[in-house]
Amino acid sequence: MMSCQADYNLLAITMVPTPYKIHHIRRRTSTGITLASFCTLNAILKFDCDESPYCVYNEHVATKLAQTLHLPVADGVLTSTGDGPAYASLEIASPGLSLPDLLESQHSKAASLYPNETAALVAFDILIGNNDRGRNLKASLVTPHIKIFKAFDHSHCLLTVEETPEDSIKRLLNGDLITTSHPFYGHVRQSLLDDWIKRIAVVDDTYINECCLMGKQFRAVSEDQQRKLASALIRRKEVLSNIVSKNIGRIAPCLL
Amino acid sequence: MPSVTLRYRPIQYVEDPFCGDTRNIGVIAYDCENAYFRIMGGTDGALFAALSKTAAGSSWAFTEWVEWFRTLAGDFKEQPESMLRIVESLFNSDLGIAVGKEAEIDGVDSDKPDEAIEWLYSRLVKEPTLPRNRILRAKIENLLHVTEIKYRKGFEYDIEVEFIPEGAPPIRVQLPYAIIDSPRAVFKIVRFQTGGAALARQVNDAIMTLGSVVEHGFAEKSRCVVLTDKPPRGRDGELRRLSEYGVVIDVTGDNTTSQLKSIFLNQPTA
Repeated sequence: MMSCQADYNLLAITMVPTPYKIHHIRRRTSTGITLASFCTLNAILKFDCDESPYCVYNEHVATKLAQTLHLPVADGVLTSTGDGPAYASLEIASPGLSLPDLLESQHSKAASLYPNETAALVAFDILIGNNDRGRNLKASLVTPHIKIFKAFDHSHCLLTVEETPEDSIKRLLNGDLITTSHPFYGHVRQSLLDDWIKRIAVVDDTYINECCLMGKQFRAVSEDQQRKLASALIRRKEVLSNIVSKNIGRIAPCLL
Repeated sequence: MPSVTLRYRPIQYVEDPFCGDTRNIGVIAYDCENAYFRIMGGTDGALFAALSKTAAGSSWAFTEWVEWFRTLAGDFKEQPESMLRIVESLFNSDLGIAVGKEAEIDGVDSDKPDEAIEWLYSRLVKEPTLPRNRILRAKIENLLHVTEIKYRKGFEYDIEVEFIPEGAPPIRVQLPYAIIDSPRAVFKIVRFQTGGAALARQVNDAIMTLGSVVEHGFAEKSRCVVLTDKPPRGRDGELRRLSEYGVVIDVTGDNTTSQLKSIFLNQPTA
């Protein structure tokens, strides 16, 4: 345990503030000495749908896990619409322009500019069984003083790895790689990936439970399914290192 | 000479998607094998920044888009279908950058697609017209951004420095930009595209300022920079005088970035 502690102390990511797009700044609040103002931020609103019936739960849990593990995933919040809870993913951008999603041929450059974030994302996507990272990434590549590297969209992982939540949980439990393709396979650095896997493996189970459990049925996701997902993720984080070792040919990390 | 048909789409800046406020800022064109694009100002975000206050705040994101389009056009040869799908996804996009409807242009000389792109650009895009002094300022701002000099430790705008020589009245000099942390650096701006008397005033002010700066040990001559626009013919005398007091850089030149960077190679960043 001591050596793990030492390993991930070395890994501390510089937490660079990410600009989220402010749509509107309104009046100042009437109280307080900090001159706070009301404002609205731009967000992408996501709902459950036939294509991804557990989208809202997935997005919420993935974000909470990422925040717990300090992973480079766009922030977001649960919100309420006429149809019940929805998920609002905050838009990463300057005031007037959103950043484009990365192109495939930009992945190599992104990996070399953000090696630690890249390794973190690969480890995370394997943990949650995300096989849909594709172009769901935003990064600044030619603006050295603005560091942005954020992944988004977690509608096709966790409970939607397979057709049903039960099959998805089974798949997460049985130690499959699931993430058979990833933008950073072939680009991620072996040493950093190893560090992130260790870091994830030692996370207290309580945190994983707290990320997954809502304390009640949440939309179509029962409490039992939430508990089972948490148990599957706890098991999966412990065997993450084995999963990666068994699939090292596919992940093809660089020996740096 | 064989001719080809190019399909093209205007590249648009949508400042406010709610109002549908759309402005053409470039063009992307493609045939069966290659894609080409031309965008306002290229990697120099100064022209884009001149579109509006919001655009000025987003010029860094604009340069990310320019790089994105450059990569997209480069990838076209290998994966044309996939690239076309990506371009199509920008139609009516609410990302702030969008593309318009696809159209065609016939009879393009296959050896000279660049000429067709230039012609399309000139027809589709109206570049913002700015007073000359604002164009120079915008170019300088962009240069300081690209070289990251404006993010260096101790970088300040519009400062006044007072020197108090012994037994003499104080001397005050104005600097549009300076790095006030050691090793210090100072900047003056001289706009050559102006009348003779105004130019003489600027040159004299720059010489007096930089002379004082060096004389009083505020900065070394090698770190006194004069940023100018393109000097017209017959201004060699002024250029020579300025270069006696500092490093003169024409910000409209080709290798401006490396010229300026070389001065600050060992300057600590913020």
